[in-house]
Amino acid sequence: MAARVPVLVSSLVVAGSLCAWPSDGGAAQSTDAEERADQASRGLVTLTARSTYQGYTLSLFPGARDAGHRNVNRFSQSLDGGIYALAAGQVDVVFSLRYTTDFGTGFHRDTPADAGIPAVDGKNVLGILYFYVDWRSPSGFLNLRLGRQLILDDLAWNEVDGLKASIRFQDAHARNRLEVDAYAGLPVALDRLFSSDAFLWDGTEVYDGRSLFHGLALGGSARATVMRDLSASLTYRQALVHRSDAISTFSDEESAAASDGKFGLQEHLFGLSLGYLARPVDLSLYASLSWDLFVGKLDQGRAGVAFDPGPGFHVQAEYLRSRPRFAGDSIFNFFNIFGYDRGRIEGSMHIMGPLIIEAGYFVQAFEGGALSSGATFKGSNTVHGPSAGIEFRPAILPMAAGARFEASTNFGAGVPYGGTYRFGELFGNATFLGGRLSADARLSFTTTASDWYENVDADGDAPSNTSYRIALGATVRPVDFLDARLLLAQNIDALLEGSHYVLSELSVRY
Amino acid sequence: MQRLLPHLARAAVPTAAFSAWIALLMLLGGAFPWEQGPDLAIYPRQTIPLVFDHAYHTRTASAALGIEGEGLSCTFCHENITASRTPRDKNIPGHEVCETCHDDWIGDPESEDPRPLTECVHCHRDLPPTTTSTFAAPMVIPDARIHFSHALHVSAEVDCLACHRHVREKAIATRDDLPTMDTCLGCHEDREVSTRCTTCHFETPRGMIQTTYPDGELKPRRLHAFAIHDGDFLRDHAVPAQRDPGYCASCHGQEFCLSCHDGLGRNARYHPGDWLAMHSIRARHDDNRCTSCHQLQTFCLGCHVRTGVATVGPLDNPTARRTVRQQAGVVVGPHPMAANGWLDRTSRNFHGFHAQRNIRACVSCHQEQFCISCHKSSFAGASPGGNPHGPNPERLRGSSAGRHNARVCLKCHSVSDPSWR
Repeated sequence: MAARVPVLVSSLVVAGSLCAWPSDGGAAQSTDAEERADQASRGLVTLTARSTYQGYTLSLFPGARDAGHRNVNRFSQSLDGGIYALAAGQVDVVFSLRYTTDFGTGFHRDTPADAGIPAVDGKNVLGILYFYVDWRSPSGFLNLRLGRQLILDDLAWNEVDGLKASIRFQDAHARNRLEVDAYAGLPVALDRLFSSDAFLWDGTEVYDGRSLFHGLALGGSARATVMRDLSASLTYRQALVHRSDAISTFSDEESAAASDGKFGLQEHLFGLSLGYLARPVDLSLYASLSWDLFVGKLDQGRAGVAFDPGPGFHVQAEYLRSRPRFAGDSIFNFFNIFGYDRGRIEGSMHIMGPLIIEAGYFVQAFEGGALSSGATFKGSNTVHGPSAGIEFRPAILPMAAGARFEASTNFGAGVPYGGTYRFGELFGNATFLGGRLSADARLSFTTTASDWYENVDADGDAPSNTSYRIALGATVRPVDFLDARLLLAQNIDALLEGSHYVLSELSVRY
Repeated sequence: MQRLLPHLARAAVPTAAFSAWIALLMLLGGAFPWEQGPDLAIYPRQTIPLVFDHAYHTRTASAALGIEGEGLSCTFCHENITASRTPRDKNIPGHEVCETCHDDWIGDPESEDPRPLTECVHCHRDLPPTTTSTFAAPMVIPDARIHFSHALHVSAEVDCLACHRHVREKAIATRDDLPTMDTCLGCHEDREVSTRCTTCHFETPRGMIQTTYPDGELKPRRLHAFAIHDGDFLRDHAVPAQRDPGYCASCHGQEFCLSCHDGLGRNARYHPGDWLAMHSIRARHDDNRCTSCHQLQTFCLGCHVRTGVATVGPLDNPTARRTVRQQAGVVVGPHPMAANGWLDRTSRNFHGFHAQRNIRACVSCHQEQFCISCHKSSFAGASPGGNPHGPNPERLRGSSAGRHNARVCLKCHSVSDPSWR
């Protein structure tokens, strides 16, 4: 089995920069105002281009190494940029573009399963992650953002084509702050962020780029900081979508016709988050909750505490409750589904500076309902796992080495829901030429055992597979505005991946 | 939480072991030895090839030399400090300031120090003892990368030692004697003056704090806010970032977030080892981590379909089941199949158990058409695949969700289906 690794040459052409470092040799007795004016005159244009390529082979049938291999070649080109401080410093224009292709995976959705491998389904997508104009009032009190933009709040990352208005109150000492955002616009169908180019959020597929819905997304948030140490936020989001019957999920023509042209609530969420810094004792306390108003159930709840007495010590404990969230159009909202609970503690510490030790532990409980048939779930509902790491990073040498381990496993012999894994890694890295060149080497093992194979009803352990991986990487920065990275890996006995893996990245910044 | 408690009880032993481990680390590390001094990005490394003793000059000098008074004040040597309005003013005393005193006593033959008056090495330590050269080793004190005015602080009657706390106990004062952000913020809060970031930190034209400097990245290293950037912050930053994205925007634009979160490359930090074998287990156990970069249902489905792992469309789609095959006369697939009780409600392998626990695993390969194939309602209201709604399905009739999105019911229920009406 050999991976097909095409040679890709990505060329990047970028232009325009006004960035410069402030001079170290300042004139004596210059004023603070002069310094601020000097900084304000710098850097009005930024442009960053990044090319990423991955190549590897998939083994479609675990354990069967004789057939079913598929080459994966993914290439993406991003271009992020902005022109800032136009119109007396009040207007920015910011954009982020993505082009992705996979050169054909060997499958088309209509290709019969027993047919050959026609490489006809090449992914070839140009997307706009965001492209907006930002205006802020001279006092900073009001901010308006128009265009395609990302909304990041307690509920999710969302893309919207619309307008967001933000107002900001802050006392003179910046100890108390209130920010209120409100936005409205069109939800972005097939948004490129985190998503796929072929499937709507409810999992239905869009054929041949047919436009299937329009709608309205609106929401907002209020975020307050009180006495600098107490912060809270309230968030609300609602999205309505309008769809035709062009998606083939309706049970009959009559139902499809009845559904045609309907608006439906797609998202309806409310979020609340609190945080408090008890600085005298170096504690941070936090809790967040999001409630799915559409189904009337908790979407996600989280609470935790962290102890951070200094930059070299960290201990944290957290509880998480999570329930699957689906688009309003999804039938899974009405299935008999359950959330899960997860608790974890973690800690890290720098000992005598260069020695860094970290450890963590989690326990997780899944839940299911009873069946009228009386059958019960064979596997364990409880999963737990330790993790640990150690790294030695001496200040006087440009190198580091360490090891880490993590596992997600079971109590006793019962296979837990989701299966188990154990992962261990030795790693080392070094930098040369004043940081212009760095090299990284990793040797790891991974043992996995699935709960999905035929013997889940049998006593004893699930079948497991152990694989090994050697990875060598290098990053070079010949000039300050360019990074090139290459990672090569050799897999031995990997369950789903072929022998070779390659990742290359090239980024250029202005 | 109540359901988690029994499991936590079972985890008591490993939890206790973990706690003991942390306690041991604390003991090994001594009493919190991680104070690391001022940030190099703000105060770059200095070269000060001088011999000087602040302690001698400011406190003990008077007793040792019989000079009346309590030693020299700071402004005796740093004479322009009250007018200095920027860190670009180094405020280091020159020869003329030292000569104010040293012309009189430094070469005193009665002194315990017999070196002659003109010997440069008395202060310039790197010169040969007999040299008279004026080419002393250069002193390098880069500008501090903050906005700061000594004049403003002196006029506000801030004592020098409030910032340069230990300088009276030291010989040469170095960057270690410059104040950290803790010191600055503590005083600003006590005096109720601005704690806005750009009061001190440089600002870019985008209105953000400049964080990249030739000597390193500027990062919050202590608990000034929820954003202490230690090694664990990569894992734990989601909660504070969601609650207060404006705070993150003080330093980072959205492109910074996307440089990691856009899910384009398989980063070894988050996708280590044999990731393809491990990823399904990770995803089924803690898909919250996945959703920080991937929209689970569509990202997983898109990749699984394109690589031929997943099914497409309804159950009876002839192109659907690519990874299902015959092996020794038995149909096998990525999970137990019908022959192993996958569709048998009396079997412990019944697929419903898995769907209940984390249905997001199911939908990473199956579209809802697949489920509808069996679970849709017939005219009589019965479902060949059984009722997937769980106990008391009547609760859904007239529910808020149904009222606000009637389309979804029509996917399984015909308009003429009495159970829909």
